[in-house]
Amino acid sequence: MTELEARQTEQAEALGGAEAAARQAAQRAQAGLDAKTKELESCKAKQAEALRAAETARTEVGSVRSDLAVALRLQMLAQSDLRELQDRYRHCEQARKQQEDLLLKLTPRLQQAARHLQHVNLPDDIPDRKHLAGPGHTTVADPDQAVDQEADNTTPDTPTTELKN
Amino acid sequence: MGQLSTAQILQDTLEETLELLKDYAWDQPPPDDQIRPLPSLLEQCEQLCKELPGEEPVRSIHHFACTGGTLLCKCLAVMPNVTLLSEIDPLSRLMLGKNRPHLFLPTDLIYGARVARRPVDDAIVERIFIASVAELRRALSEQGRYLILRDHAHSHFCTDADPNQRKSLRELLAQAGPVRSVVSVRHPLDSYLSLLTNKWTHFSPFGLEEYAQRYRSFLVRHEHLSIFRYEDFVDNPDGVLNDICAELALPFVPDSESMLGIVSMSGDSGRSSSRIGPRDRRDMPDDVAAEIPQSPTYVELCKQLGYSASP
Repeated sequence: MTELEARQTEQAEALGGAEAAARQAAQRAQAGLDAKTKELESCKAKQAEALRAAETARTEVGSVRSDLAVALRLQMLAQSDLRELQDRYRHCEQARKQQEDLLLKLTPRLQQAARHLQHVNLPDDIPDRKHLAGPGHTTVADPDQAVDQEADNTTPDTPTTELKN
Repeated sequence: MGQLSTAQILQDTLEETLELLKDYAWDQPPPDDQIRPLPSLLEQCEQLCKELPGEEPVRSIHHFACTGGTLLCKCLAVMPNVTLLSEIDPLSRLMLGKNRPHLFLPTDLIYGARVARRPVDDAIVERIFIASVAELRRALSEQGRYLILRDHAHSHFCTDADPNQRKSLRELLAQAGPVRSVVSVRHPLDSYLSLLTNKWTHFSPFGLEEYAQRYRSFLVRHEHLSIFRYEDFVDNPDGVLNDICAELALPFVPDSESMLGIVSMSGDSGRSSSRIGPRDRRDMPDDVAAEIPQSPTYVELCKQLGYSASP
């Protein structure tokens, strides 16, 4: 009997030990599970944040694309403005050059006409107008002398008749 | 002192001319065979002066409300160096209703003068407007820009004020300098239906016959101007825009449709889109359908503009 009781006590102790070990193991497993759950929640939060960031980035990309499209169009508009202004500048410059060429041709002719007019029609009371002759010419007060000098520069078709008052 | 002789006058004139041309004087006279005779040179001068561009005109475009004018003007606004002012009518009274609160328009001198305790009349408004346009045209021209004014003809022809008792925008512009103008139209039934949808019924009696009569008055006041149809424009945008630009003496660049997204403009009342294309007619109420056979002026108007009067 005593031997039986002793065996039962031994078994009970063994069972108690096993139970305690099992409890400890369960506690460790629970702690591990809690840690994993926390980790999972953290991962889920990170994932949600990443999704939000991705969505924000997608919106920003769309906005940037839209801005870029507008900027490109504005640039095209500015280029179109510039091309048209350049085209008009080219025409204006051509006209200015033509004017300049023409005035360069016209001026000596007018100088020639002024000299001729002065020489053929210079009365005594009109002061000498040397400046009319332009650079490279001297004008003389004596009409006869003037006509002689003018003859050297006058073309065959230059009118020599005196202008009538 | 005796009178100057012809020769002396001529000599003085030559002297003054040569003074002006002193920068072009030659140090030594060129050989005669290098320069053409004087009459030929003077003819060239005259020809050159004729070829020089004259004073830059103001451009204007005139159309009724809901005729597709905004889309057309958006396309014109992206043409090179164009500055387009939308919906302009200095004599408009649409924003001056008796019980309307004063608007915050600190840059609008005419509005300020209109709503003052002792308001100004049309004659003063006209003077302010003409002076402003002349200055704006001159300033823009100095920068190589072209000024276009888009008429708000609805203010003139589609309100209870008598359209014949006031000047049109174009008549005012003509007082500010040279003007080049075009008119654009759309099928009158389409624009009439859109007016109804937008509730822009600013004249009475409001009806298709009255609308058509006002439309014809508008055309009479703008006769001799080229008319462009909205339907032709949406069918062939570049072709019609090219013709409009030629009429307005403006540079033209194709594919303005791709630039529509960057232009915002007042008057965008319709089914706005950045695409140019034909649209189906709005649903027609029965009472409007019933007005058509009762409106002889509408039929004449359609005939004048080359449209079918049938709904």
